[in-house]
Amino acid sequence: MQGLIDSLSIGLSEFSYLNLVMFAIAGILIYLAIAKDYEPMLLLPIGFGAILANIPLSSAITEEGFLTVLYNSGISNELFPVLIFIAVGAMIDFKPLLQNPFMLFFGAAAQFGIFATMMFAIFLGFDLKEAASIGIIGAADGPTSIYVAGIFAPEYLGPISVAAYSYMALVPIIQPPVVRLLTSRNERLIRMDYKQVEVPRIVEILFPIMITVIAGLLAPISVALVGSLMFGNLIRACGVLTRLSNAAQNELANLVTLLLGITIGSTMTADKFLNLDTLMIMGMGLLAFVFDTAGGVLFAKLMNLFLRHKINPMVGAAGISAFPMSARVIQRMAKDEDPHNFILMQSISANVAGQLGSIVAGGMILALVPMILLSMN
Amino acid sequence: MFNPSSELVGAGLQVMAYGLVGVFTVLILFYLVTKAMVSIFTKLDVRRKARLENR
Repeated sequence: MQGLIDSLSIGLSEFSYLNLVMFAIAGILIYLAIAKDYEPMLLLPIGFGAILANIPLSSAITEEGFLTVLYNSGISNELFPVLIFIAVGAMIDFKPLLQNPFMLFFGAAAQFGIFATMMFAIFLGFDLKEAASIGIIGAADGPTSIYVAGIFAPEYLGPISVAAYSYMALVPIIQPPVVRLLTSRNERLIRMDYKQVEVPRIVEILFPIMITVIAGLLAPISVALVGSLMFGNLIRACGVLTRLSNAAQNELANLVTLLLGITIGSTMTADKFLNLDTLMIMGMGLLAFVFDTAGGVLFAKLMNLFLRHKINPMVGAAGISAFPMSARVIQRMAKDEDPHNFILMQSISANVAGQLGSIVAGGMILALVPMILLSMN
Repeated sequence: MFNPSSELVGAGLQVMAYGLVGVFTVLILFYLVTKAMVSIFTKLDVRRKARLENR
């Protein structure tokens, strides 16, 4: 009888206040997902995964536990992020960007936050690989963050993923004050002409192929990232694989998101998550989004020094990857200043460019960090 | 903490400089390729339509 009582109470006896704190954090994530609708598809599974991982002696995270199996077969080998990229690629419509390719420059400028935050992390005492993984939160692109962190700093995968997805959901709160701070009212009132350009279908089909080849030749390590995104997009753009495109956008995206979320949650055990590093990563994640926004806006202001037809600098802020939220935020801000100002299409183009820019930045980080570390030794 | 080696800061600055230059270079290439593709295939489209109309 005593043995039965002992075995039934073994979980309780191992339970500590740290587990309770992690339950509270998991509860907050689940609350944000359900009550506030903040990235529910990711934050809810992450929250529940954290609960599963923080039950003392949890069978879910033993060597043969299902979350460990999922981690080994989907995260540590980068399979889940790559599958998500295929799904995301099938969801992206590059037509607004093809109609207005100039906006690609904002997709580059708004990656400034990645590198600025990386430097900040170095000054806080993180090594180069960890700092790069923290900086990549500024890609405002969950799968890219997971992909890079999984390779460079798997021990920080939990906080980096939570920060990336949380701040993506908070773009409507983070971006407006930064944009207002860096622009005058007159700049926010700038109207931009929009010309509807007909894009031949062949260009939509060739675009993902050309992008993959160019990015792959310049940074072969980015092929998995860029290639999977562009493969998904080719399925969509070709027009003859509607079933596969729908499957990628729905079944594949939903299934992998579900598994990805709960698996990441399982890495959030109290011993790995409850420390100063996590707090610093959360803080720097916010900083990364602020720097991204500032980078885009300031770059647009710089371009305006040379352009005859001025750009509304707010469009630069839409160069981050959080699609389509950032573009909508910028259009709403423009409308608040002038109800007749319509810059949604330009913002959408910049936002799509940001999706491209973020994976290129991820590829650059993956290529450069090992190279520079090697040259240091 | 708060006292990184100058070597590490230098490495970080290199990643930042090369990274930003790299991202801009790749996206400028994307821009040029996109412009070229749109221009070439739009012209071909126009010619094809004109040919069809002449038939």
